[in-house]
Amino acid sequence: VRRYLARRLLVSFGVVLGVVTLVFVALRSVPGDPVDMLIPADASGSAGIALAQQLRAKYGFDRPLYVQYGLYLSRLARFDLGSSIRSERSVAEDLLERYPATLELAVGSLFVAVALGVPAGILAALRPNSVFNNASMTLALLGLSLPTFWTGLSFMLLFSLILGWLPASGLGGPVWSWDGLSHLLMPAVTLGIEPAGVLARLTRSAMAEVLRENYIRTARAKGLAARTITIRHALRNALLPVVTVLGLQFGGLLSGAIVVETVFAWPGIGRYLVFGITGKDFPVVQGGVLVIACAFVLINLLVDVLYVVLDPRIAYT
Amino acid sequence: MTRTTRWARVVSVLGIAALVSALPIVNLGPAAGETAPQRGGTLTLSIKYSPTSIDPQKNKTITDEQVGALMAEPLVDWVNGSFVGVLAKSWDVSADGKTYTFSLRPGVKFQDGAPLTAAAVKASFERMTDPAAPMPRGGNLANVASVTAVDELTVRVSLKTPDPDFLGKLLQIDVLDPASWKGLTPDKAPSGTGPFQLVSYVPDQRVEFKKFPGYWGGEPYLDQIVIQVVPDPATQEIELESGKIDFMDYVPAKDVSRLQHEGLQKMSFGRVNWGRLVFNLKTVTDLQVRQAVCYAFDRNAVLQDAMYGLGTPQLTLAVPGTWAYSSKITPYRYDPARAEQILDQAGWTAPRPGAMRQKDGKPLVLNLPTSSNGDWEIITQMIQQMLRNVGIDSRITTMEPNTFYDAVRTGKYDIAWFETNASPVPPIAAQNLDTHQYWDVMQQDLPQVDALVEQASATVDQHARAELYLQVQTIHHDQALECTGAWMEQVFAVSSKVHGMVLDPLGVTIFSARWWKSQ
Repeated sequence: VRRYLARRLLVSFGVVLGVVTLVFVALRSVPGDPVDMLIPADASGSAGIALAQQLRAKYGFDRPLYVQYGLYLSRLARFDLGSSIRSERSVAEDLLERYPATLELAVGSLFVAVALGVPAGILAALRPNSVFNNASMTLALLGLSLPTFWTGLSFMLLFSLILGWLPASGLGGPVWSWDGLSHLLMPAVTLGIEPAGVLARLTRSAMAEVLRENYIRTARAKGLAARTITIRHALRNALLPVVTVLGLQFGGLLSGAIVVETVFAWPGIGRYLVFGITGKDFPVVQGGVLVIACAFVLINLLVDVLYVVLDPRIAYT
Repeated sequence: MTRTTRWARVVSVLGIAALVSALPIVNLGPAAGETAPQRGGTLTLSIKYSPTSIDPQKNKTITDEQVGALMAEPLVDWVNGSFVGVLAKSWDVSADGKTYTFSLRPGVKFQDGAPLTAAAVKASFERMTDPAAPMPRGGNLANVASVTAVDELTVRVSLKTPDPDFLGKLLQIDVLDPASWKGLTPDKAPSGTGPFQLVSYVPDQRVEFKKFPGYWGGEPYLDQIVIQVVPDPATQEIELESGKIDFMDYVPAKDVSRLQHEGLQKMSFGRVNWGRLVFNLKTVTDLQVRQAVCYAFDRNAVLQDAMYGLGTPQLTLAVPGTWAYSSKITPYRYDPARAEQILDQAGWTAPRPGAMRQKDGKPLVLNLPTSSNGDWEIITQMIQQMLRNVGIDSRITTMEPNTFYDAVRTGKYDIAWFETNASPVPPIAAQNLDTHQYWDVMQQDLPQVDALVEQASATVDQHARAELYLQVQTIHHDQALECTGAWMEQVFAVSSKVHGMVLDPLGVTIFSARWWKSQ
């Protein structure tokens, strides 16, 4: 297992390096100039041109690409992500400041997704042709298809403007306080609805398949309680594909939810990254993508390890 | 990034005076009652973009400016059509327009307790233009030859060339205490003279201020000001309507009348944002094609249908009713028949009715890029249809904003809808015709225009200056260098409980000491 982990970590490192390189090259080959955003539209003749040259020299944009890349990697090796061109703030500090918000929202919406999706899927599988099955699967489809900006704004209209129960935007206090929780509630539900739909449909089909297996029939024949069969025998086996998808969904959530973060003014890394991209703020985009790539790689590793726990037949060597 | 931010960083160039000015709040909601100002309370402002820096001298955007204006002040500002002294009590301009002498207001204290002195003004100017680390707005002071502290409260600024508009360039130059900016961390602000002091700054989230009791203009009415960053306008509107915030910036044009019906105050500033059709003179070389485009362009349709009537048509470079305006220029007005006639005469003909025009087998097709933000895309589509109506074909490419600006700046286009901000002086949008600037979009040197613009901007005598600008406008018109479009109005929405807010021509809310909120 240790050798397997070491190999996986090495591959992960390669993946992250590849992503970083790709982003570095892509950013620089897309048309547009990062210093454009810093030159006032009315900068008079020589002043604007001189400022542009000064800024290009300051950030090294006037040097050959391979030199820029080498410098970037050497700084990266020292865990130096550079500082934003626009705000001059350290990218590492900015990311550290925003990541907790992204994590909070990701965990919150994952909780919503699991709490809504998995039970709905199980119940629908147990009663295949019932009204509940049809209703929950229709809702799941709706959850999958509704655009988040629409659901977000609808929730906001209802719960903030009409009922006045929840704050419409921003990050509250710590999540265990009412202030923190009330701020988190709407964005987490909005963001959790789509994965809940995915999970519900996936759980239902996985469960339905498992329930047709011979060992379930045997368990029933032994006279085991229906609850025991469902939870101990069927669910555990049905969860394997669910966990895989859950891992991927969580990785996605960790990369920041741009729309939800924008609608609810949630200060996560999704918005930070978008501002970086639209402003051609290279260090911000590079730093943000690096963190996201690491999160993805880590989650995938965790999911693979979790398999062993769920299915003893799987063993890594 | 939307139009507002990109252009928001702008400052003083194109001029637009009398019609601009700080427009007072138009209260269209329920009567707020003309009671005496009340003290206390917290005002919550909502802005779309986080300030890029909390240091008032590092301002890049109008949002930076707006946040900075609470803490720090310039020597002069522009209100209701004229310059007013802020930290300068009065000023004197030498006859040759090269020396500006400012008398500072006595008894003014920085928030750290230090007195406002001529030396602080000098140091502030020098920090803005430090060659080792110039500030984005340092270019406003590029013409300054020297700054002298004549005595404790008198500053003399000598310019390299005469500049009758120099005061307009000072609107974004805040004076700070030189002792306060050394060794600052990015979340701390240096000390200014403004009515509010920074309490905390969390990028992308919020900025909090408390009142500065020692403010020279009297203790501010409000106790606190909180600024929240809310990027989505729909969310801002919900929060404004539910009373959680008192102010939102840049209301989308389509929502303005609805918010007014809800009883919110509309605060607007106009004729600083200026939209026009620009040409790449290197590729659209045929004058008659450019003229035809200007006749085919229906600016009123754009104004009514894409901008919901928020703005006024712009017919010439100069603002009507100002000294720079001349009735000798006959503007291009929408006349598609005339456009077709010009094209026919120039040999651009349609092979059959309804087909696009061509000349010597070469089709008339223009590359028309646009920025991927809502308004620009719609306006560009309207332009495409207008051109098609007279037989000019065009290809729209929608680009991400930064890519679009760069495409236009580096000449990868034929024709484009382009918007720019302006300063109140001079009242003519001529400065952008200077072809030796970073943001030159015309792609071709126009030595005669450059010389005239340069000469005009350094001419003190208003009569002679108007004459020079008339020459610029004549070339601009005869050569159809651009098609003038519209002065656009930007709208902020304010709760009916808020009183005393004033907008300067750049869209910065100023004089916060006199803002108050009815309880």
